[in-house]
Amino acid sequence: MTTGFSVTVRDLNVRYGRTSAVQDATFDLEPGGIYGLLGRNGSGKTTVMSTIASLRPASGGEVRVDGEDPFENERVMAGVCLVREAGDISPDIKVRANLDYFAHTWPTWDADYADELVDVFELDRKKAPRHLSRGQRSALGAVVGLASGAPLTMFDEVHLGMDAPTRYAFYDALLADVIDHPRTVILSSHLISEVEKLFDGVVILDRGSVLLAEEADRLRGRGATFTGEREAVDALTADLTVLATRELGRVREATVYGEIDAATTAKAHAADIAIGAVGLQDLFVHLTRKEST
Amino acid sequence: MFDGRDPIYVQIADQLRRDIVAGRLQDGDQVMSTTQYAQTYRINPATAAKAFTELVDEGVLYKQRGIGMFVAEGARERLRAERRRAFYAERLDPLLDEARYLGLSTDDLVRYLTGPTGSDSTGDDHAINDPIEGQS
Amino acid sequence: MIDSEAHRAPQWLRVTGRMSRGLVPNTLWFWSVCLLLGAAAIWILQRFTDGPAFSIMSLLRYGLIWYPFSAALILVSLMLGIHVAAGQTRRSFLIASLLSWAGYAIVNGLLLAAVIAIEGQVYDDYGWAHRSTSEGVLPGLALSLGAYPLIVLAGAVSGLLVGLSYYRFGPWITLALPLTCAPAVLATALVASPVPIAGIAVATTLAAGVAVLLGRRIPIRTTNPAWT
Repeated sequence: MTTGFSVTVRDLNVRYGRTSAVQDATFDLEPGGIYGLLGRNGSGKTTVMSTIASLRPASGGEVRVDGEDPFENERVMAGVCLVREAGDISPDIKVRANLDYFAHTWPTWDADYADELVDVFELDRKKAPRHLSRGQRSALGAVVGLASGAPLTMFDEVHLGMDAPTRYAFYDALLADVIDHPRTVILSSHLISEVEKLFDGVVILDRGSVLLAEEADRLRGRGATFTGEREAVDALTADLTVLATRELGRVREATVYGEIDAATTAKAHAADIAIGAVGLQDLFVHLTRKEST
Repeated sequence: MFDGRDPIYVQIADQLRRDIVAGRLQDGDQVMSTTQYAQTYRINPATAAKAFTELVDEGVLYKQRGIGMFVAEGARERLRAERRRAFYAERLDPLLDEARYLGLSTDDLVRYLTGPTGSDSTGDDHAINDPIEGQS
Repeated sequence: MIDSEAHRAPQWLRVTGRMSRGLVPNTLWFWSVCLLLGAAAIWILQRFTDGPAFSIMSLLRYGLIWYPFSAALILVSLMLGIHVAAGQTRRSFLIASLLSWAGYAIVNGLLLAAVIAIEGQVYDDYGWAHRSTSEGVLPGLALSLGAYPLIVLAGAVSGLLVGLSYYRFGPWITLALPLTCAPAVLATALVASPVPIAGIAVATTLAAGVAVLLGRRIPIRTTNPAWT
């Protein structure tokens, strides 16, 4: 019984002609987890996933999936499914025929489950993908990814065009499926607050480089807001990495990033400074802001 | 749900402990499975499992193979005893500090506690905030 | 995970099977239409003229070069991305393409040779000259058994190469068309002038080799050209 593929990326570089899309990316994903690959548009998410899925060769460095180089590796490729925003489906043949094709290509395809999901997402089997709405096309991608049963399944912006109920149906289906058939899942999304609690780990890309790769819980623990009197907050956060500050009259709210030790907590308490949580979404926004270093 | 600064599994375990102390979950009651929990709150199943494992290790929950997880006999009493022990240090002391800071005397506090608005309920749901930061 | 019986065969074999099956309906359709039209043309010519001046059926050569050419080209642009994104190797796509087009070429080339031979018999019976054009000479049966499958294959391999080069390099590769199309062009020229068969064979082999080199590590595009 597989629990999913592991992913190891070491000093990965990917170039398109002379433009560099990914530089020296390094991170590890344990088998069986759900991971968030986050980054602004053009940060290299799709390129990294495409390289893991063997859709494009690495220009430098190495990628290991389940311990092997995935590129043109028949065993590994058959276990890696990347659902891309563009949708690797035939636009002009019916949904049903598209799914039949995948039944032949994925060794772990579950046709009954695919059928069930088509109903969950209310897709018309007789329609060609070209005539589906953006959201329905994304849903079809979700069906393919989920039913593929691939030990490494990646969803690249699969939520695009989906309305909220459809997105939640997708998250529910994903969770149910991962619980029943443990596998490694990578999810890239801009709707971080919706998905952050699904993640075991998070990799944040910024302009082609890995900004951080961290357990989700630890990352969340690293962000905090300190709210209190301006001078007191400034004094307390002098030695911390302040990502952003906000003025609320005499009160200042500083968003900081880093380990917050017991001493700091105690000092904050003594100075009547409230410590609050920072959601992953806010942390992401602050960390990937253009002027941030 | 689970938006605090603590790791989510800690928040889940806290939530379950509170449910038990408050009597929303009784000794011997079956609790949601890890799967149900993960799906209900749309959280990572491993995170949910970690919380349940912690509670099983603490003896608050026990596992019955193939059936599910249940609140251990005496769990409520034990948790309540623990909570009561922690109450003075974690809750009352900061409050007393605050009272001193505001210049409230012991007499003021006694008068308040024994007066008509004095509270005598135990399962106070406002305890949901982080115990350390709850008073701000 | 449970592998179904079909998944135990090597990938290249499974894909070849699927691709080849995809070519069958087309072959049946092509021959039913062409035989009907060809026979009708011959019948009309013998009815209203002195008889056909050249072999009608040998005109099918053009179709059997340029149809596989365009089909192979389209197959690459429509299916390569989907094939690889569905967890299959470029290698299996390339091997399967070459093998299934080779199968297609053998079947259709031999059918063409047979049809032309039968047509020759009919022409003999009527006393008509069986020529490729009013001037050109048709290859003998022995030669056509080799030549016709070869020209069909030349068309398909050219199409594969053109498709791959467009997929890889985009529009400006149009400049290389004289090279990428060479096998198909040579095969077409065989009809008019006696291009040595060895020349077509060499050009086709070269084109197949370049196609494999080009496709071996080809990056899969973000957008499937079929959507545009």
